[in-house]
Amino acid sequence: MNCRFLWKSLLWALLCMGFAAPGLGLEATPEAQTPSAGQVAYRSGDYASAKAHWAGALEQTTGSARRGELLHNLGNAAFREGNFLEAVARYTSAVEHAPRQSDTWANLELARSRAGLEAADRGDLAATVERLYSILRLPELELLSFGVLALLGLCLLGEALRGGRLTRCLAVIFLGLGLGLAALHTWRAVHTPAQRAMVTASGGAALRSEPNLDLPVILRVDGGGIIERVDSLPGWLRVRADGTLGWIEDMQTLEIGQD
Amino acid sequence: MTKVPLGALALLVALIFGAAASAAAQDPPRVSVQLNTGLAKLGETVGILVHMEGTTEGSIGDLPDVPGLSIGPIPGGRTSRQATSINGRMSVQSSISWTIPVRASAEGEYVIPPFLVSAAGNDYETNPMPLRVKEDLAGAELGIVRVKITPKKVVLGQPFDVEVSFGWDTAVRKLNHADLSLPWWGQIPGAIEMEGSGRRELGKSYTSVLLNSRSQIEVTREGAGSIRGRSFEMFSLRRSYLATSPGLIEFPASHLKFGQMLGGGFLDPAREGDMYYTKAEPVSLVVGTLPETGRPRDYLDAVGSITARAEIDRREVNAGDSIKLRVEWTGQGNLEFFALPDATHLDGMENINFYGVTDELKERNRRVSVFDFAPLSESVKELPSIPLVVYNPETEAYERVVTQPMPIRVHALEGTGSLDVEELPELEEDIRDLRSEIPASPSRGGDGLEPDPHFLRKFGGALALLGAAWAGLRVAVRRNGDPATPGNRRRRAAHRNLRRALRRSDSASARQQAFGAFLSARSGEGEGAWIGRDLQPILVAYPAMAKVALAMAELDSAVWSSGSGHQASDGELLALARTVESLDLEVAANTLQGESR
Repeated sequence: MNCRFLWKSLLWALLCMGFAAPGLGLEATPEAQTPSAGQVAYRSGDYASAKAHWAGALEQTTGSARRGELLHNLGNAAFREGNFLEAVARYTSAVEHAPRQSDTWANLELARSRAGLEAADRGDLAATVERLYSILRLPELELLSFGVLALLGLCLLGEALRGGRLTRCLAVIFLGLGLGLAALHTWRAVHTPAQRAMVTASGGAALRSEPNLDLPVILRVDGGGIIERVDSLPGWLRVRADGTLGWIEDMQTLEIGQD
Repeated sequence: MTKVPLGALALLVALIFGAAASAAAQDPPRVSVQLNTGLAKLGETVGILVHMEGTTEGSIGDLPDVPGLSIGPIPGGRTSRQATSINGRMSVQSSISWTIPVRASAEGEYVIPPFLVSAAGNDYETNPMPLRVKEDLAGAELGIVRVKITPKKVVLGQPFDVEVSFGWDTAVRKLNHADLSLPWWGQIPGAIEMEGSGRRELGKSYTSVLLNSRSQIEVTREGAGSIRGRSFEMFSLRRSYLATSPGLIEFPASHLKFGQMLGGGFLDPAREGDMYYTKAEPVSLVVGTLPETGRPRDYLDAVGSITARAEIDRREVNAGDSIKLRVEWTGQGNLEFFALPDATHLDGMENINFYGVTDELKERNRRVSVFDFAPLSESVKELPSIPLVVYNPETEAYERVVTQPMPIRVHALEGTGSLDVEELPELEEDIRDLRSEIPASPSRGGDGLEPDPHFLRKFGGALALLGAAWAGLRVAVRRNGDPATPGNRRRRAAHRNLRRALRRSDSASARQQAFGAFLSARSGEGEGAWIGRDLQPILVAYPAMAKVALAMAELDSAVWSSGSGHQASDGELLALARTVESLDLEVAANTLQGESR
């Protein structure tokens, strides 16, 4: 086999992995187009219509990049309406769909500040690690893991055909990197609750043992509090908050996170 | 010297104090209260002497109120304690005494009614004390004191002057003491002293006199003047006040005491010699209120007769540059107290920024205000006039004092017409704009990046597959030997090394060495094995080597002919090398070695 061909292939594969990531969906590419009905309504100050348009579009959208944009815009509309907790919920969902969008992060922090909540990025070491840890979405982690696996394959091929210390070292590095990414993926998949919601009622929301307004309140969740969705009935959500299971009025919450 | 035992000394002290204590315990205190004189001159201060003997514990009750007499205040008591020995018997005398000042404001027969004094816990009532006050005719003849208030009537917020002029006949020779008694000094209800009042004026001579028997005050020497046809040496004292509440301000009678003070040395205590007294009649001032009718809304408490004069520090400015308008307020009025007009709301302030005003009372009757403006456009042709509403007590009307508008010339800044007149809005954090939407279309409904629930399984499978493939391939490859041996690595690097050597070579010999090294690396032999080798034995089996033999021969002859003659180019040598790479040179070399043996 031609040795030069193999090495060049390996080099090109490395370069392609580096440059092709954005094109593979790791970073959304902005496009210029005519404004949507939501944008037109937003620019004219009709935030309710803009929200209705974007909420409708959100229901029909599955792509994370597009969902992130729609959620960002929904957050902006809520912010302009003065519903800062709703804006916080929208931006929180948006950054989970597009964790590297600095604009959305900035808006989230401003909305949290206006809502009287603690900053999402507290600026300490733990917050920085958490931010780094969540900088990639799960599908992106998967893609990256397989990319690393491809590089490992090339290294192993070179080692089988030519031997040599360099190929062996590279193979070990890529193997470790691949296993680390797979472990991170597994950790996040296990520790991220599937369905969450945020309390958007400014006065907080009441938790009851059953979906009945006449029953006593067993827990009060402050505005901006995150709860885990367990079940739902029309108008009601069964949630877990601070370890307590109960029912909360649906209209007082907004779903957050990736679907 | 005889030593006195300590015990005997202590006994002596005990006896002394014991005797004193017993004396004090036995004798009740003696109290005497009396005037130091029954006849006083008008303006003279006499004293009620209160003396308590045999105690130091005493007090004086409420002093009586006698019309025409000013009694008090009660000074602090003077105490004394004295031990005496008479015929070997020790006694201690203790006492306390007061001198309460009494001054009459008019001639007459007065009686100071009884009042209570307390000594060692016992109350005593004083006897009535008659006092006759006669005008000091000599003092009234030889001296003069007058209090003059101008104007006679003022309104609230209007300043007024109080002038005390006093003097004495120059014929009085023995005169070294003057005491001006002004009971209203420093405590005029409804008026405050104005800043700068009493300041020294240039060209005037000053001296000091005693004021209210307590402190020295500087007065102006007015020089000699003619009073009642006699020559008087005159002095004056002026102060300006501002009326702060309506009503009547009264100035009680003032007195002047002058004459000769004797003694005053260390061994000769001061005492009065010939003293003269003269009096000024009480005066009063009516303070009226400002009229409500006709009062403009922009009235800022200015009262008096005030004029204004304006000037600017320059006539030509660039747009946005500062220009200062200096307004000088002068006249008789409450210059110190009125508020300045708000320049931001003046007429003609369009395209002019107002930065502020500095303000200073230069003299008693002169106040200077410097307004800092910045015209923003060349359309500004003048600085506006500054109006001030003043209540003039003379005309009893509100008047508007206005400065002249100041014509100026404003040059536009280069490249700009004018500065933005509007104030810049405050910076405030805001959300970032909408994100451009990816159009919702079936083809772009999703970005294909959704979490794979079987990721771990796929990842593990791919990893296992890679491992198996690598192991199988490795075993297969190494059946023909380890590709990582030095010989194999040298063989693989032979072509690259040939290219580099040819690039560096500058002679036929170097090129021959490079090509020979290439052939040696491919055949696994030592360097130089192919130089000068006869290739005829392998040409039948390896016809492609004929070109190699020819090239080597040409290089050999070029070496021996110092580079002359034809030799294969670098490209031809590299092409030959490609051809050789497809041959098994190790076998060819073995053949050649066998032939040579």
